[in-house]
Amino acid sequence: MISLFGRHYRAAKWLGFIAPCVLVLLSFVIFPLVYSLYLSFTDFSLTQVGYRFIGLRNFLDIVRSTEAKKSAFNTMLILIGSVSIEVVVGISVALMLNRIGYSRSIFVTLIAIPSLVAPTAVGAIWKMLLQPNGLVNYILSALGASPIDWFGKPTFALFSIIIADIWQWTPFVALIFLAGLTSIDPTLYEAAKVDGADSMQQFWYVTLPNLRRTFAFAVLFRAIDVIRFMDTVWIITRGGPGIATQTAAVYIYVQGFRFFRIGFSSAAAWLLLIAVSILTGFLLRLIREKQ
Amino acid sequence: MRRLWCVVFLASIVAGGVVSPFAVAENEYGYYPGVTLRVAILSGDHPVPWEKFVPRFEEMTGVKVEIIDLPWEELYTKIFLELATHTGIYDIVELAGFWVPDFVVNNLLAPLDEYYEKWDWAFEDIMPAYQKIGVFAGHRYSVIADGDVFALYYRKDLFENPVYQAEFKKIYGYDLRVPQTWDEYLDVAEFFNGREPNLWGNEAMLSRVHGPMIFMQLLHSFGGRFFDPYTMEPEITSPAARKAIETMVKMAQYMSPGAPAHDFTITRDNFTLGYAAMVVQWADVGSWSGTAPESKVRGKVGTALVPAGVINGQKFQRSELAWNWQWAINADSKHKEAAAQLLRYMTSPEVSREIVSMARGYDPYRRSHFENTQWAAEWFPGALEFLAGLKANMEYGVYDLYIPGAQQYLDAVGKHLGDILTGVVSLDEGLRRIADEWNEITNRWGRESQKAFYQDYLRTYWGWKG
Repeated sequence: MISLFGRHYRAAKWLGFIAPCVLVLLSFVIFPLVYSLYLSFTDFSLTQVGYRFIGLRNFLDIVRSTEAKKSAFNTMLILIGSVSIEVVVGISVALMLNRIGYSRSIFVTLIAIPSLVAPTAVGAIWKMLLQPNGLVNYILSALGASPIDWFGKPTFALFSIIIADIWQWTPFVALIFLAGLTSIDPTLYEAAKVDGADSMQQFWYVTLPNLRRTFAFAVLFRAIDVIRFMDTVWIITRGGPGIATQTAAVYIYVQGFRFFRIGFSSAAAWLLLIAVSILTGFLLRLIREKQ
Repeated sequence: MRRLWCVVFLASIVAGGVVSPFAVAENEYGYYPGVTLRVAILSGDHPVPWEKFVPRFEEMTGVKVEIIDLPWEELYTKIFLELATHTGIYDIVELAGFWVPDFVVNNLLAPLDEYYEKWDWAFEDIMPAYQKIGVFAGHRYSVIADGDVFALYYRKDLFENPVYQAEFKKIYGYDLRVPQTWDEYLDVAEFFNGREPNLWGNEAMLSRVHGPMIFMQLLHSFGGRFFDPYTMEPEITSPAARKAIETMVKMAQYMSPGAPAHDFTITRDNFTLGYAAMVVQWADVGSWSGTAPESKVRGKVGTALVPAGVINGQKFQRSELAWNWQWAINADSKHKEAAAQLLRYMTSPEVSREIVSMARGYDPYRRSHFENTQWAAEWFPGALEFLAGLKANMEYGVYDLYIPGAQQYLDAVGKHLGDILTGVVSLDEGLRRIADEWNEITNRWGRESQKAFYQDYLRTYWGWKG
């Protein structure tokens, strides 16, 4: 073997090790990305023979489209609604878990269960729970409140998506914050106590600043997930009523896989990627320590 | 002696090998040993009749049949993708009627004309309303599997209640009766709404997917049409279309909560659980009411003509032949003839009659389904009246939009209908948005070709002479 490659044997050896991975990356990531970028500048559709290069027309149509803008707006609403509550509740749960001693692992395992359920199953469960005569309305009626029309009113339909997302991913966010909490140097708390800080002041001046990176990571992780959120929405509301809960990902799915407008949906997917990249860049700057 | 026995033994094997193919081939569906057919159909109820009747076909013809059931959400997408990418996975596919043009213009389906010319499909036994279904651009591409027609299903016990009759007369000034017009329908829905605990005036499919079916029914009930056949300009803002949407908005007011999200399953179940006084829907409601174990309305359901629409003094009695599941053959199938035989078998009068009696999403569509009704008398209480009601509606049958892109046009209606129903946009704004989107869709497909297809659709299905 050494004689086959001569003095390049060492390089060939390493290339041989990484070649399968590179091949997979090229085939399933790089090539589809590049090809989809190319298609986004065409009017390629599976339902029509032939296609043409149309420049930026797809992108302009999307930017001008009321439906696309509404879908993006819905995505932002779900993002803000879900992630903000997940972070607040997640930190609270993490703080409680951090106080638990040797039985913590049992609680960690239990609360992680929702995150392990498939999103389509989560959608199906919450669709049943939020039916007009479902368990949630039954409980509301028992408490003397009026049942809610979860799927017939746009606002409540949006809440139904947010509730399902919060139920599934808050535990995961809590685990991220728990990891962050356990990494905080305990001597900082001792120093704060010595300085006379009470628990609220310790939380505000020690815990939160040291969780800045964890916070940004959790928000980034969840934001990327919510932006490409499709399956749970599809199961619960199908983007309805009308397009009241249609997210960007659902919009792309419908255009690409219902109407087979591959060029158009590729352009929409690239716009979504750009939006996610901008958000990621912004949050990553928060993660980096100030000089 | 041993040699004699060997000769006899060998001769019998040879004789059997020669004779048996001929013996099997005498069955009317041919003999295709070694052929495997893959059939893609909707999951849930549809596979049940296939699983029951396919073994006999397999035995007769030597064909092996694999049933691949696809969930509702994936049905159109998966079938189209597999056919468009020429994987050849499916030989037979199940399609909604208005999907067929999309497949045909992309040369994805095999024409069936030659098989119709060669074999007896008992074509004259098919109800006249369904004989044209499956024909596009002058050729037949699919066979009818499901006699979808809308009918009005109503609670006889409520309508025959003398107390309600007296109250209705007092309020509305005319006798309570099965609604003859859509205006009467709304009066009756308003009357029954909340009259008993957990009773709403009506049910209706208003969801993004199924709402367009009711829209088409009402559009046709008020004498409307989709486009101007000479310009392809949408007629969605016409008085007929406007009245259709207005009627749907009013229907929603007399429905159980979540009306804009009500699809086929919810409306069927709500009616059969006794939550609604009336529903205009497919035959599934009628048969489900009588056969489903959870039905609370068994024996209490009447079947009537879909109410007529009255507009500008003109009355239109029309019942939408909405959806209509059909079976078609993949243009890439290597066993088209065997596949056609399977379709001929499954749609034969004897087999299809048993299929439709199973109430598994395939509804009656042959004359023999309605004439030889011994089976119906034993089906469920009121089955004969149910079949008579279906047949009566078929006499006034009108057709869905059968042009390329129909799914997109109808999705535009479903989408904006939801916004209109929830008050996000006004009726005028909603109709304008539908019109704009229809124009975009037409331009994408090509205005001239769409015009040609639409004119052909009008001539074939509406007898248009233009």
